[in-house]
Amino acid sequence: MTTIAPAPAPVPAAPHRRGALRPSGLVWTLLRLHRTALFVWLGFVAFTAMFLLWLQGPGASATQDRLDALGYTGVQISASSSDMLLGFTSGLYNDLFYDPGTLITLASFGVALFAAGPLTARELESGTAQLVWGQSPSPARWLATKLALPALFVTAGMSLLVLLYRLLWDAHGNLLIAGISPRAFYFSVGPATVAAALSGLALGALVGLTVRRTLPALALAGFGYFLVNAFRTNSWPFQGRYQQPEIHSRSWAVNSAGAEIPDPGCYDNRQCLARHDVAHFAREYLPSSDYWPRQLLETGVLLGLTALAVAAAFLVLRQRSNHV
Amino acid sequence: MSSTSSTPAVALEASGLGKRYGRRAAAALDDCSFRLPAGRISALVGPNGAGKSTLLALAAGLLRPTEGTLTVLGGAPGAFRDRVAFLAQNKPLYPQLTIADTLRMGAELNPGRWDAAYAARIVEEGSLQPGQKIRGLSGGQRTRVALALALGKRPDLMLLDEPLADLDPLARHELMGTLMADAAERGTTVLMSSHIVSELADACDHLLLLGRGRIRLGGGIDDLLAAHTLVTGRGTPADLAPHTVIESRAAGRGLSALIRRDGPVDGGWETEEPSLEELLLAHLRSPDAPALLTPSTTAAPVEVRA
Repeated sequence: MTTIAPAPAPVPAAPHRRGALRPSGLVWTLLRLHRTALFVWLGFVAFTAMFLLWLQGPGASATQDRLDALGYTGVQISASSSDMLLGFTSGLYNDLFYDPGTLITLASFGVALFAAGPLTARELESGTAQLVWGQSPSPARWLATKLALPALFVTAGMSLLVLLYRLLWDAHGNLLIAGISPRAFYFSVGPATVAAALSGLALGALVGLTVRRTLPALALAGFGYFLVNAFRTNSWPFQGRYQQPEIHSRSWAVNSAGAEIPDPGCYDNRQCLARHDVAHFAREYLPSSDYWPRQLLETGVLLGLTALAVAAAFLVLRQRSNHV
Repeated sequence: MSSTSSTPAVALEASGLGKRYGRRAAAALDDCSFRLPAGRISALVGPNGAGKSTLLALAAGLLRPTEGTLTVLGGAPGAFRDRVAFLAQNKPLYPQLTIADTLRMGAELNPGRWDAAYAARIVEEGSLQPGQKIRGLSGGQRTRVALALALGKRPDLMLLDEPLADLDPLARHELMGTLMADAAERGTTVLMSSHIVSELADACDHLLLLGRGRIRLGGGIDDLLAAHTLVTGRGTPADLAPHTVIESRAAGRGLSALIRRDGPVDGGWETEEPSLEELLLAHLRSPDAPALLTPSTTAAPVEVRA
């Protein structure tokens, strides 16, 4: 066996001046190839963030006024009115509050489908993956970049939304009708929301690399992430078969002197309220000591799943290609 | 094992190479052994399904061999990706990119090697505009862009799977000229599969004929042609011993045969050196003919070295 000395490299033309932050190499290639997906993701994050800020500010003012005036009764009255938003969807604060959560769940499904289809299976099906592997970077670096770059955007976007959502809960969780909904919300939104989207990314990529055909990969990844999502609604084995723990709320009234008085139970009787000298009402959910253990355990499980899927994806790639 | 003046450098060496797609499928390559000296322009020919694309993809490090070893530029396949260019048969390109973006991708993915002016020239010679989307190009135009991407990285080894199939005759001639000039100038090794024998005869100086997953014929084209003789005369194939008869058929009142000579041919026969096309067709029609690899194309034994 003889070795050829590397031929002298041709004088490389420098076609693009780049600054320190200009993306290059595989990162540039990926950003360029998945430009539309990136715009869609940024659009989703921007829209949902604005929605959350609106719920934090102007969207909450009417219901907040009723809470101030009538206490929890005011919240109930608000939730039974017939407000409409944009003429087709419920404009009730109690409904709108949960909508960003639905959007976030849909988006993490979107991440899983994107990872299975355009990111991996379509490249293998159309042969463009081989086009990139025929250039200088190895398939392993190709996959690593393909996973790391979307993971960065998913983590940044989801973290921002989760943060805004928690701030919204702290500010206006008291405007929600008590029951299973605020409880389910309280225990589901947190680091695990970000981890769930990341597990979708890893799962999708694994399915895409294994199946290597776009349509079956999309179907399988959708089903796989559906299972993950089904567990997420409080069904992990470690959470037992019971409902989420109770979260406690506290309601009180304040008289004109600023002193805290018990709720006189006037319902919406203004004369009664005036007789008891109620200036305004207040209500809050008390934090649950179960929140962090449950969130962190779930986050750990989801990140573990993500790590397994990533490792399996590299193994599958290794079986298929010869990467050094 | 370093490069010495007595041993010519080897671009590609296969030893007992096998590739099977799935356990029950027939092997695409089976115990394939050969060596391609550096600097040759080698034609990889063979019937459909002979394993040409598989061999090229293995050499490019895109597939894992099932058995055997393959050494590319002295390392494992994929070890020197920056020095190897691969053009797949279906010429995959990203349809949503423009030609300019496609070439930019070549620059981004081959830092330090990319020759932007050269790649741009290949595209311009096809009167293509950099702003055109790949989606809107014809098959031949896409082939040109794919070739620009492969040549622009200035590789030491080019693996081209049917590079000329959908080019018009003018573009084919011109691009082959570019390829040959590049190879001559820089000593690039080229291994290209093709069915267009007339083009191969002009462009290539080395031949690898694949059949049933193995090399049937391998070596410099001149050497291979010189080893064979086209004979005509009266007689039977048995009369041609001790030569190896690759193919024989009745021609008029006598016999016409392509033989692999073993010593001088008996004076009773009319002899003629075969053309490359005749050599190839005879071997393609007679898949059971014994294999012939010239010494420089024979893989070194793995353990024992002379």
